[in-house]
Amino acid sequence: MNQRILVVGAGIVGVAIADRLQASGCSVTIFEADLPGGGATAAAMGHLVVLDDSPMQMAFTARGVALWRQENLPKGCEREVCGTLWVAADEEEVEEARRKAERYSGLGLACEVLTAGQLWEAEPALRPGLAGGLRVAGDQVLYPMGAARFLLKRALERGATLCREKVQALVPGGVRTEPGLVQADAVILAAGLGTTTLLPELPIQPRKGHLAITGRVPGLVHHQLVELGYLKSAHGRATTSVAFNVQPRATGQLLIGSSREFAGLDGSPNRELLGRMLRKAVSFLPTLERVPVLRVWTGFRPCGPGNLPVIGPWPGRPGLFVAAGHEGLGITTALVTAELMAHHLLGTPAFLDPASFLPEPAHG
Amino acid sequence: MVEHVDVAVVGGGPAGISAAVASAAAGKRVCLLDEGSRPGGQIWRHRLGQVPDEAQSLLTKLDAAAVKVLFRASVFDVEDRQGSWRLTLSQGERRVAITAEKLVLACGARERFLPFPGWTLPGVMGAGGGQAFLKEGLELHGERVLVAGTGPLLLPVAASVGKAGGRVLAILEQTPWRRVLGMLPVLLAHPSKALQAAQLGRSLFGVPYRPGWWVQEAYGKDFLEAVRLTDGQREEVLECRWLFCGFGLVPNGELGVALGCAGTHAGLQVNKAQESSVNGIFAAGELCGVAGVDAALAEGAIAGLAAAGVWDAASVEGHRLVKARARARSTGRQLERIFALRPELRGLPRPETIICRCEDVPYGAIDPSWGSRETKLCTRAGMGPCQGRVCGPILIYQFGHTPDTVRIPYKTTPVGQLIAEEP
Amino acid sequence: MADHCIIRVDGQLVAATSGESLAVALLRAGHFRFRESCSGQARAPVCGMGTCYECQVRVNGTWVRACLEPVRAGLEVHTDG
Repeated sequence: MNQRILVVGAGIVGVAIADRLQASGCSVTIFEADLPGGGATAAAMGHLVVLDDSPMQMAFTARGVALWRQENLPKGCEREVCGTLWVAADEEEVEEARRKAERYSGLGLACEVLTAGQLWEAEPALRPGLAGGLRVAGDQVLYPMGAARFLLKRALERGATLCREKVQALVPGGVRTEPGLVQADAVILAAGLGTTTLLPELPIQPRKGHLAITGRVPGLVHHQLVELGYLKSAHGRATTSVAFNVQPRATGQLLIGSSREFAGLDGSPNRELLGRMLRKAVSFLPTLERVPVLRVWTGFRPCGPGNLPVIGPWPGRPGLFVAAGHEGLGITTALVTAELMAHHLLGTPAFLDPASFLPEPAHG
Repeated sequence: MVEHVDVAVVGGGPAGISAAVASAAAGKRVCLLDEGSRPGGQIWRHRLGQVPDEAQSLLTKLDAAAVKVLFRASVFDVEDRQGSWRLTLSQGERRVAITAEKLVLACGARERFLPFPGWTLPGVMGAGGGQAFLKEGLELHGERVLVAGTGPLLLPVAASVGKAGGRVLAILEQTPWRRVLGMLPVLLAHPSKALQAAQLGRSLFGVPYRPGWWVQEAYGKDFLEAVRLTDGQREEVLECRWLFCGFGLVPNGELGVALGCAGTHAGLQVNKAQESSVNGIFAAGELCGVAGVDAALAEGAIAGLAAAGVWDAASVEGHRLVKARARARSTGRQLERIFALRPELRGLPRPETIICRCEDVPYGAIDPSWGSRETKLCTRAGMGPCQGRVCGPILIYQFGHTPDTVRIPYKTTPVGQLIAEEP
Repeated sequence: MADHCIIRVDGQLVAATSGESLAVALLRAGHFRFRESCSGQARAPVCGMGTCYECQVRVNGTWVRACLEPVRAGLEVHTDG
């Protein structure tokens, strides 16, 4: 025990890993030259959601949400267990809601299929004429920056250290920084988009998204609302897409999402896409039309090569581990990622098959 | 339909009107945009049909000029369309788009507020804020009013209070007497200003003007009841109903910053023809640095002529404008020195004193070691509807933060108006 | 010259003048709670020029800054902005 571990990156994934390993007796140093949590974490919506794209994704996200549930988060994390309401626009989507309900129930997750009438009762601000929905009660929302800072603070209180030097390169048995080499038993690369700079064999693409936040309209929306069509739009990999995705914040404000596009690292708003995203939101929530937007921002999801993030030892580089490519699920799965990493490093139990997340480095 | 003009002027105060009139006189199609309901900006703010004397001549010219004026227009987006600018604005329930070959930014300045315990109580307003409401017809019915803060603006505000039937208890000027005396040479150099000062002095006869004093705390339950003041040694408590308190002006540089114009929070940079570092964008008046109405009028005219492509510094009119600008800017710099903020004001907020009024972020929640972005992300300071326009300058003053980046929407805008036309 | 009219503020009838600033009409009528801040404090106008948003109210269902809003007969004003 008492391994010396370097974690590169203090986004939510990095700090969750650092906190978990420090709690298990490792001696952890976190490297972050920029603002901790200032990358994809700060831009994220903070929806802790179980997704069922594949059985493993479902197990992964369900475990992620369950681990967040066990955390006693301080007020600054603004956690609310508001649940997710998947909105079905037509009968086809109601069918999908039923299939989804079976899968969620199969994992022991509380959920219920809503008729059009029940949907209207649950969310009267939704437009009339929707076909129904699926309520997943245990999904949560939180303020990602608050959560990342909470985990970082806890890791530091447990004895971890935060080093503000930029990691210039990974070297056998450690990292190189401006002042010199730092040696350790293991290096964990959790640098989000920065991963590829340090490990070119692992391509992480920025998948840009827009979010808008409104003024306070308490009581207008009660659940995180997501259209069932979301799966269609969020999962085509090359295309630009928008989906209806609205989150009630503890402040009474609404966060409006979401968009996906591959547009390099240009963070300026894409007015056309923003317009499409907001038009979609208004089409589901007509009263939004007059609600003021205070701010719009963009962020980059770290999108890896596969449908699941890469978590585990990097082949051919003893002592190097990676946790990267969480795309839009970094907040939801930060704690389960840390659990898997702990399994690899310490042999603690993993509740999921770790092999599903093992890296397959690109050749050539 | 998107309207196309040669020159779009953002801001309808003296600088903007002056620019619009100058461009229009050069034969350009001009559009003038302002958030208010009448032309004149803050300094010439007036009720319907009661145009102030000093504004009469320029407003008459504006009426006569072929300038399309849009009031109650909040510009929330400006897009660089390679060679032209596309402005999108919210006008009540309407969304309006305009394209323009050239832009003149004349967005003026806003008041600088500094936090002290109780400054969020109803009844505590800006000095300029109070002035604005008095000009719009607020009546005070013998109510007790304290005017405080800094700068020459405090005197006309106090005069307006008297005219509106209020009783001015005192004018607290944070700058000390010895620096206030530095006003004398400024006044002697500007006979017209000296005359104004003399008139103000007469209307303020009997009102204590107290340099070296400032507000420490405001008290009240649902509304302002009393104010504690100090000169650093002595303290007094005055019962009052209103406190009009402002600490000078800060340029409204947001639009320029968003468009990439070089400058600092103290003002956008412009060249001799009032053109910013971005081709085709001109700036005039307070947003290039606070210097008052004379600078605004001269710079507005220069910017308007330059945007129209007819600026000639060597002409008779050119000479006059350049001279007027230099004179006004030099006065502006003198006033800035005279009314520089004293360091004690930094010590006014207590841990529970609100810094960001939109998000109710208390002073104690901000770690002085944080930078601007960290402060914003950790506390939400600056994330409310005013988009940091009130707390931004406070954070710069208290903690040395850098001004924030500016993104669309430049003003809080309804969701429906952010939705572009169908492609 | 003054064009008097009636507006409704949180259900109460208030006399005002057409064209004047809604904020002034509210202050004159003794309304000092234009909005409630996140932590529940009463807030009233501060800047008078559309910058601070402390005077934000709802008029006929839309959020407006009262200081920039001209009074028209029949306005329905809600101070829960």
